[in-house]
Amino acid sequence: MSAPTTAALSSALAIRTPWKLILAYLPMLLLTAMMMTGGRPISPDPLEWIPLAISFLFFNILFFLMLRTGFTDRYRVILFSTMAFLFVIGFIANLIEMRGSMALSESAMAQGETPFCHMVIPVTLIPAALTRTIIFPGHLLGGFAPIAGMVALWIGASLALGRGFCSWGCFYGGLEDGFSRLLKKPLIRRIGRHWTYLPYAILLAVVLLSAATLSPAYCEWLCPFKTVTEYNEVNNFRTLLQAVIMVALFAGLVVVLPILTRKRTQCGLFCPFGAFQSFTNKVSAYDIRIDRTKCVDCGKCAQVCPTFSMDADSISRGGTRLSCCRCGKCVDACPKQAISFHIKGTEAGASPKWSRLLFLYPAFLFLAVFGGSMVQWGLYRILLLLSTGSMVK
Amino acid sequence: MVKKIMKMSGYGWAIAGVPIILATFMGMDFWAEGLVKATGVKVSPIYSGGEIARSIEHNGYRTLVREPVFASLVGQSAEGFVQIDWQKAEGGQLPPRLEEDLDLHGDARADCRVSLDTTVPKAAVLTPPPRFISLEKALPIKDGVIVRIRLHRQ
Repeated sequence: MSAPTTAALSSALAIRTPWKLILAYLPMLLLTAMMMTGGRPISPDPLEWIPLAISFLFFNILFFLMLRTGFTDRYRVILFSTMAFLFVIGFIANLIEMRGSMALSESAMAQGETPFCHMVIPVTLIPAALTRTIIFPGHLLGGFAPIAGMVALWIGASLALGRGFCSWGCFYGGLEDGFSRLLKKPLIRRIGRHWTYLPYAILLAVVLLSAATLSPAYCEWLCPFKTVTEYNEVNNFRTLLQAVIMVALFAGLVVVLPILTRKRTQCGLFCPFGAFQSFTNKVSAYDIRIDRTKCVDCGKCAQVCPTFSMDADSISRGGTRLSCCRCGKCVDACPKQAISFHIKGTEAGASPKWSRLLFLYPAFLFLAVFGGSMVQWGLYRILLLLSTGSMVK
Repeated sequence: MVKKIMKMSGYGWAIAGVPIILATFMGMDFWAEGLVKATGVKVSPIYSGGEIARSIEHNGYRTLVREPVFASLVGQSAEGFVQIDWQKAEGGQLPPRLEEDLDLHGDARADCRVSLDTTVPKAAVLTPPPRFISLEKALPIKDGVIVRIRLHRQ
């Protein structure tokens, strides 16, 4: 029997019967149409309808290919990385339009103008529980990226997807996922398992430090993504040091190491939010299971897993480690189709097509709605640049 | 039987994934408001400056004196700050320079005098309040200037 590879045109999970394909695809087409337009009439302004149309087609064509070919990660990564890169373009242009700079000044913080992001959530919980205050210079409701709105979004995503959020919703994860695909083969292959515990240690450290200082220590000192979003205005040695740390972390963990290892090194070896999000995998209905009767222990899944969530131990147990992000790369790569998306409570390998579809619907819908808005946002800025010569109004 | 129940609950929870995502996006403002109401959380006064204690109207602008903030994870910290906002009134302007007597402690008596150059902005404490430590900062905001004065709690 010839083993299918990731370069194959379709996998065993492909939906080949036309009417089944239409039945599986049509609801998503309607849901994305409804959610992306918000149920409102489409604006006649080309700067608005062109990004919407491109985004709608882009997401739906790739979802169709996911169903038709049976491959998940192959198409997910295109959407996920596009979302991340266009998010950066849209976010920076928005900041420059709002404040004239990517730098976050003390004045902006005093006025609660800092957009909140999910990465801060873990460090806010202890102070919120003990002092009923959120240690973040943003606003709770209304405006751009309010705290309560982002927390509500995170709760919904976590209930439905668990740490799948990190592969289907995190607008930062797509950056390193994209960089990790640049080389065909990794130049660094061996990374000790002990490094995979580092995110939990960092999580503990930033949670305790933030509680002790009543300030979001992770944002101030360790967030690599401030390099491409907003950073504290550099006006003294402390802020200079913060800037140097974040640029070094971004260059190392988000660009260079993902290229060299073909892994998501920030997500797998550093991100405290990712470590925290791992625990939500216990709540989610979906996981990844290995049918041990089919598995030949070739280790391909562990080799390709971008977040170090598979190793010999987990494979022998027929599953993944807690940190699994449900990206589907192992499912695509398994030469024996032994790995599948799985619904908890059912037997491993039971109805793999149904289980995959039941996972894909909420995961893809989240990506299409959340990521779709970012893709539109970024495309709008690019079109604005092409039509007016400037990305800001 | 147990296996069947587990299987049915598994599928039930999995099918709920789409409604959860739809409800999350469609009702985001509703959930966000509910979350704030249910938990009663606010933005930390370290960032917001604290609750407004008194508002003094002037010609073209107003002075907001906030409650002193001694934020701590448990109890109160030994040191904190009090924030004063000078805000333009609608259609008004802040004077380029001002001096004002302020009642920081809410005992209806002025216990501090501050001068402010609103153009830079730059502040000076002319008469320090009780338990004064230092002038922390003066920052421009959209509609005025804020000043923070560091204080000992006791």
